Amino acid sequence: MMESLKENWVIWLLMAFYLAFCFGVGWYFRAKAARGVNDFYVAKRQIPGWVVSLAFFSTFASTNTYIGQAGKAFSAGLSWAWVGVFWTFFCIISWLLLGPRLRNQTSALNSVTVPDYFDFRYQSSLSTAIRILSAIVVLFATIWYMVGITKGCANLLETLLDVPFAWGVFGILASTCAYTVWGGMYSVLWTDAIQGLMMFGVAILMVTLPFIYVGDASELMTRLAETTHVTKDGDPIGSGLVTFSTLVSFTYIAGIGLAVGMKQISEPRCLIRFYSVDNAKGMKFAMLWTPIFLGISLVCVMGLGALVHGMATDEEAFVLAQDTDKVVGFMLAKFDNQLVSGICLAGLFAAGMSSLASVMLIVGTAAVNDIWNVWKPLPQTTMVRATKLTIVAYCALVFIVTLTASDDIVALTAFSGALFAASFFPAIFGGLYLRWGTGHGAFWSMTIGLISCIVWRFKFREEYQFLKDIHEIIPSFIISFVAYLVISSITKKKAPPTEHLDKIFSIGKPERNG
Amino acid sequence: MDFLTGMAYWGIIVMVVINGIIVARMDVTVDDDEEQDGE
Repeated sequence: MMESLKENWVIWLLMAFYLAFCFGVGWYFRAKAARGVNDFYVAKRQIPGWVVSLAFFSTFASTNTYIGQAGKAFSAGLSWAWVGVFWTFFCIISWLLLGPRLRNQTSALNSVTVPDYFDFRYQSSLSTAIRILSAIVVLFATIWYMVGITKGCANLLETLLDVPFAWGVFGILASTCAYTVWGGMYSVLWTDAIQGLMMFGVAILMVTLPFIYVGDASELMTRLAETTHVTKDGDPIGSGLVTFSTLVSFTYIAGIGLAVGMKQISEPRCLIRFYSVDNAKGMKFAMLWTPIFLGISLVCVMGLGALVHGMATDEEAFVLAQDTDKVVGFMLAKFDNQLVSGICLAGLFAAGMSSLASVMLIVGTAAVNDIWNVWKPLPQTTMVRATKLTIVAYCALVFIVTLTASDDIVALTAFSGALFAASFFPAIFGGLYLRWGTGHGAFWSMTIGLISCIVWRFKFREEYQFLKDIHEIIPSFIISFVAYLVISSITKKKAPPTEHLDKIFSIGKPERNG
Repeated sequence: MDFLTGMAYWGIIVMVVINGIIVARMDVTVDDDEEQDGE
């Protein structure tokens, strides 16, 4: 460690500046955030659109994108960028279809979390059950996501700076937890915005590295097209890196693209961003710019792993093919420039920490506001304190699980994304657009989506070879959406009262009167 | 790089441009009334 500190002092210095900034923001907002639930949970819905836009981008794109997905292109080739097509599509859909409506309805209902939105929107005998069930889904699904992100960051620290894995895991969790607990949604959003800018710059910087290393763009592309490297199993890659869907099937690409991309239309860490937008101008800015930030970054990073073949020897490539999460770390080590590594490492940490901070807040608010507070109502200041304690306890749990988990980042995060999309999206979309959607439809679609997702992943995909490449998101999403529509139409009479529906569906319409 | 592989890269850019046109033509309304704090 001490040797690494001496050798890589530029990287350590840049990292120290970055962490000092995050702590500074958290400390600055600590008093404001402690004022009450509306402050700590949703920053009083007074955050400028450009901050929310960058925060959405940096929250969605994480180390999963910059390390896991970028590395995956090493084994999948340049056509892995199709995953980015799906992600950009769902980013656009999320902001166009959900953003303004969710902002308006949650404001009208005084909702501060996604689970309590289900409760207040559906007003049925199952409302509390939906709220608690969705909070449990948040607590269960988030852990895999956090493990994936933490693993990615810790791997990078180990590869580049010789930091022992366990210490890396502890460092990333403890530092993110500190500024999240201090400043709540205020510090999460403002650090996310700066982290988003860093990530955008780092994506552009990273894609230039293989080209600079090789020295000539056409030479790099020739190396990829005629590579002598082999796959994980030892088969020759040939021209697979530059031809469509040769190394992995398009079904698999579509599965990951859908499972992770659909998080933007269903996962609370993304949806909660809409709650905080201050006004229509801010909303419009974010609707326009978020897909630009995300889309351009994805163009840069989604094929990055394939480009790294141009930097690797046959032996190095074979080792990397066994664990593609290490490809980006290898690229930086091979490029061997302290300043570039320092900037990229800070950007990659920004990617991980922005997503971690957001989900930490989500698990804290879900556990306290939607389980604890429902079971035994708490005063506002106690709720904030309880949320902070819950976040710390959950981070301790993630620390333990990360040290024992074995699956790779992409698989872990894609599974958690599938759980959210299958169980949350029908209830959210129906809540926003279908007046006849009922609490029964929401509850059962959530339950059915959850079960079908788990069964498909651990039973069908494991046992039947021909279903291996069909991601659980596809069947479970379809089943849960159909369940929502069918059960809601059967239980139409249990829809909330007309006055309630009039109130939430009229909000945000230009012709409304005050 | 073959056509379908390349399409992923320029396809993202095309989607972003189309979104820009749609948003520019949209009438977005946000209810920005001050929240009543429960404290």
